[in-house]
Amino acid sequence: MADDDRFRFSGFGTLGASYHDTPGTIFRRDISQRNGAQSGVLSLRPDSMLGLQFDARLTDRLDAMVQLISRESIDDAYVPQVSWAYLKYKLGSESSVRIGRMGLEFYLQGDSVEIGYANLMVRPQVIFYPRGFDGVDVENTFPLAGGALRLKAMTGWTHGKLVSGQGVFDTAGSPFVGALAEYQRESWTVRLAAGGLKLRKDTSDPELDALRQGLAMAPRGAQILDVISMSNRRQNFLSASLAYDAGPLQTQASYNIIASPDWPDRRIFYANAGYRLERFTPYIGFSAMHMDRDTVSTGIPDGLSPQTDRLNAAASIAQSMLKVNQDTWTVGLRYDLGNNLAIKAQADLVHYIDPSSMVDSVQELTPAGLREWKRATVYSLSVDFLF
Amino acid sequence: MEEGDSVLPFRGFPVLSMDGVMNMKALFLALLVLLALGASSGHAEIVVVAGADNETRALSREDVINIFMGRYRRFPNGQEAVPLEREGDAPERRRFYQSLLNKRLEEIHAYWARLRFSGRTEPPRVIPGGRDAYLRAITETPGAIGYVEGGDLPRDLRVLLSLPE
Repeated sequence: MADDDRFRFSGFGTLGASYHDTPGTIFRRDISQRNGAQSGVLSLRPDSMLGLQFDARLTDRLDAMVQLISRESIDDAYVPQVSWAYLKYKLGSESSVRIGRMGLEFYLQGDSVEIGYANLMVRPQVIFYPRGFDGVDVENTFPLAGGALRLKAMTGWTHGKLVSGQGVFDTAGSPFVGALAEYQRESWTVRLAAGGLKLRKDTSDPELDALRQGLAMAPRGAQILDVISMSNRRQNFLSASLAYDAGPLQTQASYNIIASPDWPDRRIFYANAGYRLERFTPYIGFSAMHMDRDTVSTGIPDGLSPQTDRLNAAASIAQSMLKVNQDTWTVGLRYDLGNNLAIKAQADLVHYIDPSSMVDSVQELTPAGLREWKRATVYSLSVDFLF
Repeated sequence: MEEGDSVLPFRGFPVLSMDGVMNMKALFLALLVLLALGASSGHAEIVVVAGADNETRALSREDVINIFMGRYRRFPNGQEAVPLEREGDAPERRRFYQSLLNKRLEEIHAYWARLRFSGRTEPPRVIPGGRDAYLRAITETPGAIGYVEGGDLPRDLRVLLSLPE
């Protein structure tokens, strides 16, 4: 780390390897990845990354920061992306305004999921997307009953692409607004956040376009089109988290709801705990993503014609691709080698019917009602470092 | 022993002149006793200090956590607090975080990595050089707050909190 009073250049990185042996599936770190760890192959793709950050103190009140991250992403694998680029104006030690590109902090530690060294596990249990936005955020901290209450408001336009069964979806240009309140006192952190965004674009996929045309003729086609349409879709977020961090023990739990018109609510819970024994910290975690699995039928009876049967199946599959139902148990061990180096070994037991972490093309092309629960065990080893 | 900084007045111990098993046993016993003494009373406790001209007379443990962990950096009277940090792996730095939070320095670094790489708060400013340079910086910087092993402290420092280990 090169330290100077005014300029600083620093970085972080992870060299991570993952392995699983569930045939026909790919393990990915988050939904921004299309290519991850294939079955039976040790893969560096999901977790390996490198980040560089340049900080400048322009005046006593004005700071600038630029951060680039190189990692496996959708189309430009390892081409560095600008994750942060902002100007920060400090109104005092506890109050600031930032303008530019920032990480989205809807969720607990949501703006630092790439900093492996800062995180207990190889990767956060749930990584929400979109992850960043271009806009403004304002925050202020107040003393309250011996602790500190931080209030933050954010607004702007999201960016970032993600991959669903429907194909690549670009969140760019979706206006959003959000706010959070975080209270910290001694070992406790309580956090509440709420926000909403409006997706701008639709998924671009020729098969989906054909389905849209076909649905125009189905009795309940309009209803299904509402379900599978992404453009102008509102999504609202609610997040409540509690963390306790005292001496060797660190624990956290978080409950999150993502709501959107015509969709059942997506409910996401996760919790984890670690206990440090000198340089070793064994940890355990559980996460669950649940969503009602019903789909809307077209209103055309099955067996009428091969064409209408194909339409019925396609309509069901397109809706099923939006579902997420997955539970994951995680166990691992972190070993701190020093002030800037940690090694982690971890196993994730993934249990899914509507996958998020696993790209399972067979499951994704099966209507929700015909899917069965499946299991995958993913083994990971990572080295996290700061410089 | 926390650190090997002041382990013991071994220099005039007649190690080389000893012969015989009994003497070796005596040496080991002496060693054990001295190590045990070192572990229990080799150090004075860590105290949190500010310049003597600081209006604040005392701080709670919560106040010190808020200031050093970047949660809220003001003294109870509203004055801005400027936490200062010892360099590298200085024993007092390690002992300060151990007694304040029961955390290792690795954990403190991980904590700051999260906040720095998300542009939130800066860690306490590190003062290069040894103890003297650090104590001088505390007395010379307005609103400065630091930590040091208690005992004979310069008169221009005021103890705001003692941290029993």
